[in-house]
Amino acid sequence: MKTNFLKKNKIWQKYLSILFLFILTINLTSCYTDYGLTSADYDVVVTQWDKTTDFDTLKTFSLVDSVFHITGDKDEPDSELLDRTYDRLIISTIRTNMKELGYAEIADPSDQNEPDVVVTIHALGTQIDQYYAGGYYPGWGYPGWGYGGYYPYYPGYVGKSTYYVGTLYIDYFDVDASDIPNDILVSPWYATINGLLNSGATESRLTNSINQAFDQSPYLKIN
Amino acid sequence: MGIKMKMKYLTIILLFLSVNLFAQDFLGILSYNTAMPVSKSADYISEVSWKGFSFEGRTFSSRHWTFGGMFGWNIFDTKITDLIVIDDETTGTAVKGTQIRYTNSFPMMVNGHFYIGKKRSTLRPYFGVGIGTYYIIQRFEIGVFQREVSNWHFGLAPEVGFLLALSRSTSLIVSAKLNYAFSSGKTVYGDTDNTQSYIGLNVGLAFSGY
Repeated sequence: MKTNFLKKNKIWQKYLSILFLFILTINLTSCYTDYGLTSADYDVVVTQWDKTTDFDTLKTFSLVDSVFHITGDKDEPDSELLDRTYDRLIISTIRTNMKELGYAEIADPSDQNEPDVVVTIHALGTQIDQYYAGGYYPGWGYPGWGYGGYYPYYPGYVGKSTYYVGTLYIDYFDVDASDIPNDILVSPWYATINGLLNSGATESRLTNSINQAFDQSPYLKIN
Repeated sequence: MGIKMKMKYLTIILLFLSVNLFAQDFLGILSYNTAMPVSKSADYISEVSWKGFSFEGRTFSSRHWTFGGMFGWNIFDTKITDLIVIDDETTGTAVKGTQIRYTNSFPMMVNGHFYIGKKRSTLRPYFGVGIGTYYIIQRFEIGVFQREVSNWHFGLAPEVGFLLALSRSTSLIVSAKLNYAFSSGKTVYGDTDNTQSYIGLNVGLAFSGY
């Protein structure tokens, strides 16, 4: 009887151990969860503002009516990675948001009719096809602009396959605080929108991201 | 060799060790571990982890005491879309995007346990403590950006549990353990207080010789 018991017991233990190992294996095969991200999940909206600026004193704006491409070559206005299909959409969405916040647009600014704020739009296309093991992401910050603030630090992307990333910069320059002849431009608020290019749903992603930039900046609203 | 590969090899080695070391006064323990982050760890990821395991060996030095060592792995992750607001004195920053946050914790400890009751009792409650290190990797992903930090932490792990004999050589082991990793380095978001802690609920099998 004793022998039978042990014999049965060993078989039972063996199956139990195998079952347990099986459960552990299943458990470990998913160490990094696949969240099934869509292209919209890779969109990031960053806004930064100067807390010492009294935004309530800024009530009128002019919008520079084109999207400047950052190409690294001043004689080349168009980036080969970006097309201009969405320029009108970008400009009109920004204009709508500024108006909804209570700003009055000055469509034809002049020395006699100067806006409080000038809004500019820049775009940068970046091809990512190598490892970045840290440091500044190449899309962040660009030379030639003297900002009061700075673009936030982000480490480089770690990846190997080639893909394309677009970055849209919306700047909000305080005209009175800037010294334009001397190239000192004060931007108390800016938005940076970053996302994958050519990955679908571009119109809705652009609109949503621009709206988000203004939605997360309630201090811009004119009371 | 990547960390995943290293862990795979280590797992295989420990698996063989735990199978081959079943001696008279030795307990080889294989556990499934769940974990609930607490304190600062919960600030980063609040969700309970259902992914974790540990290997452990304990040797009886007397009727009531064991001493041994363990290796474990707990994986915490979450997906959130909350707005991140960073408030400096003169500058405010707001970041919106889908965030994927990960914490991988690898405890490696020596431990001592005290068992209540007789050695052949069906139910043997115990308590004990582990002392050693936690290797903790934190990863933060937002958009196409990713940041990862890893640190070795000094750690303590007080534990209570029980062994329930299923046969003469196999027991069910259930335990609750507070994993406390003292601050080391910086968190993935740059905080100098990098204390990590989580409460583990562990269910496993303990094998021993006849």
